[in-house]
Amino acid sequence: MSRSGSSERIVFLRRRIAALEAVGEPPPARAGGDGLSRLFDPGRSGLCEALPARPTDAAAAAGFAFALALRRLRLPPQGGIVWISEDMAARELGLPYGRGLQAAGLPPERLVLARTRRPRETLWAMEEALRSGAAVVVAESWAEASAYDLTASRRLALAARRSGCAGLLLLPRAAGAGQRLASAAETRFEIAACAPPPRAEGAPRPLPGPSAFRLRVVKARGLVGAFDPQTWRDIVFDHEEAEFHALPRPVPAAPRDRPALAPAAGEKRAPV
Amino acid sequence: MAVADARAMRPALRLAEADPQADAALLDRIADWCRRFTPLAATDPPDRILMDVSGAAHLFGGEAALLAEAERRLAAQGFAARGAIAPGPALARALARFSRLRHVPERATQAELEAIAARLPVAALDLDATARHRLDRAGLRSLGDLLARPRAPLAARLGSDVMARLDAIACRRREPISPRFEAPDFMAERRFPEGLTRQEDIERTLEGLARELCLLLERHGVGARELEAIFYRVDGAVAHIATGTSRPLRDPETIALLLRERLAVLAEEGLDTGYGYDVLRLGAARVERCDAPQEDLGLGKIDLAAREGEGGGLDDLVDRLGARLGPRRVLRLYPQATHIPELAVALRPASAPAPAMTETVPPAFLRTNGAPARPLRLFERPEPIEAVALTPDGPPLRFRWRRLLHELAAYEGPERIAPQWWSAPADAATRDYFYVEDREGCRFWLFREGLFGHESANPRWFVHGLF
Repeated sequence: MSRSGSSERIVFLRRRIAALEAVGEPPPARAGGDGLSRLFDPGRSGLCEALPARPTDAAAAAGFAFALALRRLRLPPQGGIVWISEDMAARELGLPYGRGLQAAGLPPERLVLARTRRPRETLWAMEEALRSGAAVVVAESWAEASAYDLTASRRLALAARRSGCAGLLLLPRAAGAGQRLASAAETRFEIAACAPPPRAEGAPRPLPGPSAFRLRVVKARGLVGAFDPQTWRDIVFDHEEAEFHALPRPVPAAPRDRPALAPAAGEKRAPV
Repeated sequence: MAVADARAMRPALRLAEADPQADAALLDRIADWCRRFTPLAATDPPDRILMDVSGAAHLFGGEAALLAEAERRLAAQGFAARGAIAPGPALARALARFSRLRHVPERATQAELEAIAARLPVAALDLDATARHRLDRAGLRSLGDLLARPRAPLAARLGSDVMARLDAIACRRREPISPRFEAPDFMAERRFPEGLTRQEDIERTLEGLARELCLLLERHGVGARELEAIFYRVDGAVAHIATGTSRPLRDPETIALLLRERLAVLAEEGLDTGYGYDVLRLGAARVERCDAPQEDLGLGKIDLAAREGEGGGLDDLVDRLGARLGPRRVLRLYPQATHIPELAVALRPASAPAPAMTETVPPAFLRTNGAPARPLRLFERPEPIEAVALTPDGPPLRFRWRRLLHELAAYEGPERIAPQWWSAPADAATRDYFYVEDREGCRFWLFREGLFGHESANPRWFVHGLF
């Protein structure tokens, strides 16, 4: 090898060693390189719908709605959150639990819980709450996809836009009907639970990872064309910072000598 | 007398079975209806109603007119009623039953009252048979005879409570009646010659009543916390609407709005207006001191909602939601000082005053990687599952919940939560909680109830919450 070639290689190797010994991790890639950061912008007001992909994903959709609400509540002005839970949805999914909300970072005194009996009452309560000026309104309704139509959603969207608060409507019964639903909401997400990485046979069961969702943006008003409604993205929600991160989350590996093996499935590596 | 004797005397007699409970209920309903004349109406079982009409008679054109109208309306509803008006309740009661005199004017002197009482028979004292027989044999047949006698030997003979009744009838001592419902301190009412049948008319009347009531409240510097609207139907039925607020209210529009929401709920279930409501009354059952907000000079009244900011907006929302859904369906979360998961947070109505915070708990319950260790959603009752666990202390390998099979992919636990040994019954079981993730990614908070071997041979598994 020529002398210039070897000096280049030395420079290259030196840079590589410096990168391996870097102090402090690089900032993780936000789930937003392609416009998701605008969608998840906490200051964004308006009506947002969250539908589960399958009926079993209803709890994941509820968790995602709560994550969005948490992000909005971190902003000043410090408003309250109104949670409207229909009786049937409460029987299927349970009621919000104060200790869990506390652990996730929401002080329970900012929450007002309203229990309604029928989908019509839920929609009425959501409209009243949006007009009253709470910071976030989360509603879970057992309405069918056919019962929730354009007129109802238009009233809600108008009320949300006028008062500048964020409305999140969760429709657990309309699982998988994301494409078929016609409404005046600004955004619509379809949520599924993110399956854990496959485990080799015989290996001990790992601890569950952070809360992760698989997300598909079915409708985003104002960002037409930025999202392909068919692509699924995996995102992780960090409760402490109330931020969404893309999966896999890049973490720099500790510097050590390792042979050039193909990485095992699910292992996270620093970008080199 | 026996039924046979009665039938013998009058063969065409109609018989009905006595139902004292139904009679008492009917008397209560008649007393509720009688509140259209005055809020203070009391029942005097088995078949009497006492009304305190002091100060209310002029609305009906005098006491005699009030009595005549009451009797006429009761007769129209099918009841045979006899009434009397007197300065004292016991005298009125006795007059209604035993005398032809029906109206004793208010300004009667004590001597006149005693003269009227003297004409009543001894039966007006409600004595038992032996005492009455004794008095009869002694020749004392009317109250006048008793009133003329010296008191001490009479008291020794008859007893002190009979003497108290005698004094009450002679109006020497006036006792108040105990009405069925407390009269509200602030009240506005409207009477109509014909009944109101349309909903818009009722709502407009309520708005007018709300304005009158708010003027009254403003004069006394208080705001309403509990409101009650009573509608009296022409044919005797009475309807109530009650609503509570979380702050003292004095604004007519807000009051009218709350009442309209309540009325809408009733209308959905079928408010039967029949021939219409002819008396509407709006009262503030509970009031609290409420200072007027500072008004801006020259610019008129400032929009209160804009100025009150956040706290006011959420409180108003709580009131509106509570008016439509019911106060028990609008809740707030209050953490409690207990480690049992389902009791750790109490859900209380948002309009009730907040209890003193028993503890300030820093956000705890975090798992090893910083994620929350308590579920976001908790079922009201833990749902049983069928689970197969490999080891007695371990998590279930697979479990069936709501007819779906879930296979374990990752878990964290167990977290042992033991019952309160100081207050729980002896057979309360320890719980081992697991945070479980299945192959699809759904996360559950499972627990096993009962330690294997120690507490039960067959521990059961439940799902308590979802993450």
